[in-house]
Amino acid sequence: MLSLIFRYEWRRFRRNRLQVALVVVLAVFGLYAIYYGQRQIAGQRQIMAQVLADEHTEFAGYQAAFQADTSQAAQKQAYQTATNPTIAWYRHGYAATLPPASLAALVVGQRDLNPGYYRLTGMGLYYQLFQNELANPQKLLVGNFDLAFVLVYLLPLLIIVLSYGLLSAERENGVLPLLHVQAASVRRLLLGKLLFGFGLVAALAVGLSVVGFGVAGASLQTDAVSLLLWLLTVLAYCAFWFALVWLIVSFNQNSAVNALAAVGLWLLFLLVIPSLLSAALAVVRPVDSSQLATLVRRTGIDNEDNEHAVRAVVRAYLHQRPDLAPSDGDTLLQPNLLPKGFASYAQLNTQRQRPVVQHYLGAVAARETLAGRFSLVNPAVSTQNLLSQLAGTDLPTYLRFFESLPAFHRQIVDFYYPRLFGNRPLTAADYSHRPVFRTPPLTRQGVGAGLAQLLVVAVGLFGLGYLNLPRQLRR
Amino acid sequence: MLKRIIHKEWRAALRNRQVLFFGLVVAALLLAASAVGYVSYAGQRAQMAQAQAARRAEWVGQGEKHPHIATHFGTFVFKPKNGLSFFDYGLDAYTGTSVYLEAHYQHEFMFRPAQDYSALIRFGELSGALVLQVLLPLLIIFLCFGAFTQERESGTLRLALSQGVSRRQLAWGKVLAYYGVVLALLVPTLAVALGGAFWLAGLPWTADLATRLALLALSYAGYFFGFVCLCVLVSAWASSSRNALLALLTIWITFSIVVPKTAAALGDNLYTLPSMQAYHQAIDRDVDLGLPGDTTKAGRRARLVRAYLRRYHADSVQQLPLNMEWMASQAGEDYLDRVQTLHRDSLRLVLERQNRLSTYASFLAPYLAVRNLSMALTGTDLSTSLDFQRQASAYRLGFMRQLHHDAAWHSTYGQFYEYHPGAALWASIRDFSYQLPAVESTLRQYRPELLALLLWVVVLPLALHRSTRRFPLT
Repeated sequence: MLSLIFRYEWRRFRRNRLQVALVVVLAVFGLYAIYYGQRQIAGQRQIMAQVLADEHTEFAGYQAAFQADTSQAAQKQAYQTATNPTIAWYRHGYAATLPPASLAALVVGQRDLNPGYYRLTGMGLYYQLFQNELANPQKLLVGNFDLAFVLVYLLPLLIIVLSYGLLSAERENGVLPLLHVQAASVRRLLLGKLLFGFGLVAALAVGLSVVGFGVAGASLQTDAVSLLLWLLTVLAYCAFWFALVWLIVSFNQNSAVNALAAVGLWLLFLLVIPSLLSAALAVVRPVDSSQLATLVRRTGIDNEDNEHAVRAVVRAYLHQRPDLAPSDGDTLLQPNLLPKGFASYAQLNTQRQRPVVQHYLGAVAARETLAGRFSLVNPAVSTQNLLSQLAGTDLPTYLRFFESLPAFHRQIVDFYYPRLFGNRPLTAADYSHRPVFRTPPLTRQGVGAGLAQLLVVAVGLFGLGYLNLPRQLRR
Repeated sequence: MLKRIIHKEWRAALRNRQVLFFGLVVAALLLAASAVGYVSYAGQRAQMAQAQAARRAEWVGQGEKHPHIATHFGTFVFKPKNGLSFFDYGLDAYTGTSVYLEAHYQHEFMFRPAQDYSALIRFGELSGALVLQVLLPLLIIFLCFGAFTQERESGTLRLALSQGVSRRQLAWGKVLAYYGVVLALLVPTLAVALGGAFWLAGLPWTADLATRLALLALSYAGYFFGFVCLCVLVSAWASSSRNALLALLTIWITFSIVVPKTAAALGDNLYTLPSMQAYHQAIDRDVDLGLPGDTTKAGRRARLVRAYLRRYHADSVQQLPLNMEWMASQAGEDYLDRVQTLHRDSLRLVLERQNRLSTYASFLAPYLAVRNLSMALTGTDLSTSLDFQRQASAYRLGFMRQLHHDAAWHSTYGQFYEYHPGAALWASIRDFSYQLPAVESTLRQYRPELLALLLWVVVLPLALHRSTRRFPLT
């Protein structure tokens, strides 16, 4: 029975030029989206490789400077920068990067908005954290034409076109009475047709995703779970839309009403609910990043020419870090009082600023938590979030990266400051255990729950339609 | 006759429950968007004003200080919310909101509000502009897709024609009736929503503002009129209501989703922005080594010293009546500003090239024309944001010049820590205040969009008018 329906549906689909054209157009869009995403991410990878190469060159230069001929001014300066902690603590820059994960090319997500790398020195931490990558704001506003866009925005439209006339077209073509006299129930027949549509859309979505996996260079060995979850999320999202259209169809209205209702719901889920929600959140949970602006100010000790003032700053810092004070008190402040003062000031300032940043991050997190509560009525955004979580291009992944920076900065401080306060030069051997940044791993926590929620909604909508259909047919 | 047709259509529209429902939804969204727009506008404006005032107070109250330390203490400039931005947020979430102004280095704008959000904000922000640009055309489609197809399907078209009504009369009657419905919905809603927000915001009434509002109203009115004509035209030629609706929905999605996204993506593929790191490295290089045909930093300094010695007939810098160090510092700032301007211009060129595709695509999708014009008129577009950057960096240069010149005349060469000016000098530097460019100068950059919208308003009614005789009857 099912195979018969499929065969006829396939024949019917092939004859419908509009539908075939739509599938082809969508496939072309999908392929372009994969190319586009791959280019975006390749660009980011290139910048990141440059940042790491710059860091490598910088430190290779320091190590080479140990063999420098210090009788020449330039080489002497290089030697000083490499060995003298009073210079090195603020000059040596360490790259902290958030390299794009393998699926990032399929959903660029927030990666075009948030920086993917930082260069950190032993200076104040927050002063170094708020530089953005150059971007075209108009482009940011419009968003990325990546595969996730095709899947989240355009695929539902194909689903609507394929199935809004599921029942109404039969009636409008005068076939419905014929169907009623068949042995199989109309509901089973329609289910068969729905299943055919689902198969078609799923094949397209899975096909595009698999091409995307290949282009993005995802490997089955390392990313198998993420790839599987990606496919399941895409399928669950398709199922949601089919279930929704099924529910609309079950009311047995004419084609135009069905199409209007379906497009109305598409608009509701893709535009109205998300934009209403973000507008409401902006009012209910305002986040004020203007408070962060002053953190980037390059402040220093105002009266640096006053030795007492500088000593007081150093003492205040060493009070918190007694481990940095050398055992003989004489060398505590001299030589190099001023660099020690600046270094102390930088760290004290970082401590003072920490609550401001924490407050900001807390406000962002609170807003996100509140937004998450609405995921049930916000399936498109939930799906986008799930996909970008799998690709590591969502806001939480960036925030985890951002929040791992203070610990790394502390490692840098702990590398230079004991040498600065202990008046010990850096040696060539020291460089072999200089700090190295480790990017926090991606987490798939919550993906399962999000996926389950999407499926439950789909099943619920489908069930409603299933029960509603016979009643409406009897009318 | 025309009157009768219009009346008939109005009655039909009022009886159509779906249209009525959707119309009410749009009106409600418009009201909600304006309310939310006003609240967040007022909130952000207060935030920005407060931050600006706090930084100004810090600057003035920084105490007695060596001028060089003061130039590094610097100050901040915050982007104020423009008066009309509660209606159209434009690029406000994606352009940085503040910049740090200090010596030796021109920082970029930081803190894009969209960075505080997850993917949610990329689905769009509810604003009056969004409702008008995207949702209202859909309402028009819902209202008019059956204009002719329903008459044909129910057989009333032939009936009407047999009564001596021409197809042209019928078409225009319908266009005017639907346009009337749209205006009847919009005018009171907008008057309440925007008028209320306007009144609350207490914007000063200027000729510039009036021009902006009038042009906004005209642009949207033209956009909707073209849409009504398009819908009636499609309905007249479609074989069934279902097909008319499908065609119009396809057009709508192509206009408002597919074309803008594709144009922006292709523009980005064609022209690449440098990375921030490469951009600043290039500026540093030009400052250190000099612009093409110019000498290095050290060479420029030597040249400057020679020029001053000649001017004051002095043999050494110690004999100069002013402290040469500070003049050299200011010359460094001037040079940095020159280099920066060149680089910012080339960056602007890339941005404009990237966006050019979207500009020309507005001939294809009038949504883009209206979107860009609306952003331009509300001062939330790229050109206004770049103009703000220019004004901020000009302010930085003036700020540095005033401090450096003051120090040059109040200290002697070889001294570094001796001169400590205080609040009187800090307060003598005027606070930054942004002047929105006149609407005419902004619009000059939007000629293609204006032309595209004009064509939209002229070509569609013309096409409708010319083709009415050939509308199929069955």
